[in-house]
Amino acid sequence: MPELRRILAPYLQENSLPEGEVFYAVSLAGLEALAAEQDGGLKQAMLECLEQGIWPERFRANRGELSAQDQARLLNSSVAVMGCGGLGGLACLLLARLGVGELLLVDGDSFEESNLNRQMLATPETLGRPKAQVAAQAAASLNPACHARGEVAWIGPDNLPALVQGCQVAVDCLDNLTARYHLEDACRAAGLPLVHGALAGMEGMVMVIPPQGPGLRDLHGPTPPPKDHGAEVLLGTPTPTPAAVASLQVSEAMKLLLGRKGLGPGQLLHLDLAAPALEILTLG
Amino acid sequence: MSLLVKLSTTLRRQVPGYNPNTGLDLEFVPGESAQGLIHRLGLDPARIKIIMVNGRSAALDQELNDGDRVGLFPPVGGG
Repeated sequence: MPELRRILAPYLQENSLPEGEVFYAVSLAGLEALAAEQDGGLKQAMLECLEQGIWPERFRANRGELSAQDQARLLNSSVAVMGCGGLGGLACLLLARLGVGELLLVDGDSFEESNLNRQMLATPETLGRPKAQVAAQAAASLNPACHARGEVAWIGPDNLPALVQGCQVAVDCLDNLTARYHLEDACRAAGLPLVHGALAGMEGMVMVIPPQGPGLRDLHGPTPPPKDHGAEVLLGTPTPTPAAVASLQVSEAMKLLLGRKGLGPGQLLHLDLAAPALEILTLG
Repeated sequence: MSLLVKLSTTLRRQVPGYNPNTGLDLEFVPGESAQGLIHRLGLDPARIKIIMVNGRSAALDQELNDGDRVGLFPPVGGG
């Protein structure tokens, strides 16, 4: 600890809170100095600081809602984001900013012009490039302590078991119910909670599916409805909706990682941006 | 004697003048099931995947009570 203080001293900032409490924050330069001194990585340096209650500047605004222990727990967490389009593109950026240490980003598709209305990672520069690869680069560049792996692949029963292995939470950011059913099956088999999110027009749904508990079959029946039955075919996926749904998904994923109470089994969060209204419905 | 009916996404387009803030204030018909209500609204039951009565999922044959809040949802899978 004195050693840590010695290295960090030039980079520490003391902060006073209204209640007289004091906390310290350390800049990126300080973390890099610590990492260099210890031949370790940035993430390791962040973890050591958090252990002493010293906040990396990049996370200091998480402080208050999160404890240093919570932040360290997120850095030691691993999340799979399945689909890197409208929902997944934002979910991946938010999870990297939140400080999740490991991200697996999976999508077989490449960006096209019609994605530009809503997909945060679709820019004129990324058109034609694989979404998963762009997502991994974006996450790593946003937060160099985040280890982001992009997997350019279409998910299915064959590759899902290997993909979800080692993750603590999966986030369902897919765009069709057949793939979503496959993902739910793989997560159940791996004992992994899944944060489902879907949308059509100005409405969205979010559900946390525990390994044993109500899921998509309780919502849509034993077999996935055909893709052309989805309301999104008629109503599209306009700009504000995926961002709102992805944000709710990341919030539920964060609570799962921190062991906090969130949406319960069988609870369906229905977001209606048209009204606007947010309601919790119960399955079963 | 009324039902409050809320429609989701595409179903809203099938009822002219539907207001997402207020939903539909419909007359309660004693003995009517969720399916009967769907029929009365002229909606295709094959396209409705989720029926909520007072915030809980319900089957097509569930009988409705005076004052019930009914929500009808088609499948939603976009991302």
